[in-house]
Amino acid sequence: MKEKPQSPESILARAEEFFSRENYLVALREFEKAACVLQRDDIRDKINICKKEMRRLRLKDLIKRGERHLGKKNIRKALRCFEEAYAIGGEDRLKERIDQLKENLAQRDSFQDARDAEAAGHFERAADLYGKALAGRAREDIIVKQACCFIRAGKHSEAASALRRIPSTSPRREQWQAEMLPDQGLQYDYGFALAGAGRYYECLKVWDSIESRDSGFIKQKESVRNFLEADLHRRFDSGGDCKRILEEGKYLRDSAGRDSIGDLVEYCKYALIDRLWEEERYEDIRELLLPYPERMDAHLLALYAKVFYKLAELSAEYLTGLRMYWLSAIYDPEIAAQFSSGNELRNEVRKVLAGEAEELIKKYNNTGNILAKKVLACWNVEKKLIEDLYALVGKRKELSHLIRTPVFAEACGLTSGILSLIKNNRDFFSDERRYLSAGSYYSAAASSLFYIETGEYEKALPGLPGAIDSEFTGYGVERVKFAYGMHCLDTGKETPERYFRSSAILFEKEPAYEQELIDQAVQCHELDALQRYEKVLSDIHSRRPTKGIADTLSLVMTRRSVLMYNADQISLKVLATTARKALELNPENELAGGTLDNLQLDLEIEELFKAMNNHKMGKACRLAAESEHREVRESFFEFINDIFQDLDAMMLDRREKLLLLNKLAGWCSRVDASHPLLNRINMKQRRL
Amino acid sequence: MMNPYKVLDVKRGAGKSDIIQAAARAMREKIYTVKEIAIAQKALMSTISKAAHEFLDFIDVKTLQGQLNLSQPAELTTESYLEYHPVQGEGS
Repeated sequence: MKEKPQSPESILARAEEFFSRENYLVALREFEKAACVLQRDDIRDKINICKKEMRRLRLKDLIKRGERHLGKKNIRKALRCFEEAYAIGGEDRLKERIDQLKENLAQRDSFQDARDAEAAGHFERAADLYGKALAGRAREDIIVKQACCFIRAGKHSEAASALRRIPSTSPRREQWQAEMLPDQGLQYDYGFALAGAGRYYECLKVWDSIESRDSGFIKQKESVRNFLEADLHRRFDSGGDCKRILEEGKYLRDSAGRDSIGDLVEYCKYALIDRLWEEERYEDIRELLLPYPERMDAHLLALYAKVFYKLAELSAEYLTGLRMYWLSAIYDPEIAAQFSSGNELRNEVRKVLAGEAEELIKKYNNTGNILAKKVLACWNVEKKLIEDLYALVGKRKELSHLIRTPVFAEACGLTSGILSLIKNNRDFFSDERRYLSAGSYYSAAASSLFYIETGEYEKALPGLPGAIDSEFTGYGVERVKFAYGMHCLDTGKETPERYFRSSAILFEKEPAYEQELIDQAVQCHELDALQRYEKVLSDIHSRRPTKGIADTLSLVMTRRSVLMYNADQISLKVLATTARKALELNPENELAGGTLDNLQLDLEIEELFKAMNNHKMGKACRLAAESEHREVRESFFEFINDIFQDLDAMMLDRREKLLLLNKLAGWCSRVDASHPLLNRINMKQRRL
Repeated sequence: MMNPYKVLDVKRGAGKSDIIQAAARAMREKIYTVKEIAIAQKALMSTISKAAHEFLDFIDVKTLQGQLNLSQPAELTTESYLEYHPVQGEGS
């Protein structure tokens, strides 16, 4: 069927409709059809708009496709899209993009070519290609690859030039080295190139992994160390970075034993510490101060003390460090001289500083911190000790280095000097106890004594010295053993008496410890604990029969035996024997006396019944007659009364009854001739 | 405990008038609370407390550095030429 011809107007209307829907391709075709018939300017304008819009959309589409290709790392396809887009739009930004992509492509190609050349052993060409791949950028991994290729090609100076472009602090350097320098020959070359670039520290680090006894190499390594040392001085003089000089200097000093660089290292360390102090980076300072020196002068001691004070403010874990340095620092006369020129004011400042630190420890202790509790226990001991030493040294400047706490003195090897000071000034101490106590905390028994202070009994005993080298050590050992023994008494651990074997000597020197044992024993009311105390007290009493020990032993043994009797664990007789022994030890033992009194009655009644049951009435009469206890006689008469009451029920004849009544009357009259029962018996006799 | 010298932004050895002025300035700047400023001022106005803080809040590294010998050992050469001496170690 033949198609119906369309009117120009309907074509135009359809073109407009497509135009409004932004379908410019179809709209253009329709507008062109209409333009053939209708020669109108507005239709020509629409045709131009359609063409322009089509170009714009094509451009947009190409850029979008280009970006998509880039996302998929397909640079070549992306480049084609962008080039086509540029041909359409001619925009400058597209031109820049195209140039950049072309450069990337060339670098990638060069990089691939370089890798191929490297794999094929063409190292010089590979190095050049890596250089092209770099194209002026500072990709550290590629620079190292290039340097390694230069090295493999024997071009050390070129390798050195390449390496100069990498910061020596690059964190991944060592990883690249390990990957790219698999054998020692290459490691040597790499180090050689680094040395050529003036990177002596890095060179030495690389060479450190070479295990070679080649004398030439060893000599050369020493030369590089010399270069590094000279370089460090040069950099220091020209105001170089202290942190890096410190790091490299420390390496040189510690790994190669170069003491000549030691002072420069220390100088830089202090410079860095000063900076870190301003920045309040105390933890970093602490790391710089490690390892702690065995000897330190007043200035260094002050630094350590302040750093640990600041750290302790931040965390309780540093209280041990605070304890180690603080008291020794603030009691040091040289340090204290900075507080004030006046002695009185100086003491006041010291008091404030000691108080501040103590408050800090107490603050943590109040939160239940275990370390703080231990530190506080030691602190209280050390505070008194250092006050004594401070007073003892007085104005003798030459001895001021001995005003130190035990923990610091031990760390710095000052204990023997302090012990001599104490020994030579015995009269300074008000009594022998204070004298021995002061010395013991600086003796070989010191650590065990502090364990006792902190309640760490299990650590105290193994820490005791094998030999007693002085009166102070001896005293310390006695105190530790006594304290451990007390701990055993409380807890029921082990056999406590073995730890009290030297206590007699300790009590002689310090009766307060004897009193402590007595007080604890007196407060004890449990059978198991009383048995332990009795053993210990008995053991001590055999060596030191003081009234206090005797009285306490007397009390404890009475208590113990009463409890055992009540639990049916011992007989009345054993209880009585123990009470008598207790009274021998202390005739004024009221418990033993009272117990024995009570026991006497029970014992007599028991004996009375025993005699009566065995028909030994003569003995029974004697016991009842001689007893001081009314109850014994009453028991006797009750017994007789029982027989008397049962008389009628007995199957006896008159003669037998009279005989029995005579016997009863005789027994009663031997005990108490006035007893009413006797009258009743007599009456019965008369009736019969 | 805050460093009163930092709170008031005064130097070590600052006099009482400096401290009072610094406290007024600190109040205006409002970097620290009124309480913190008051504590800092109190800490530095007392002779004893000030001396204690001078010890606590400052370190003296100059004296420690002054004890060190920084001279370069004479035997150290400034020449840094190194001859290539390839090594074939045990691990190669």
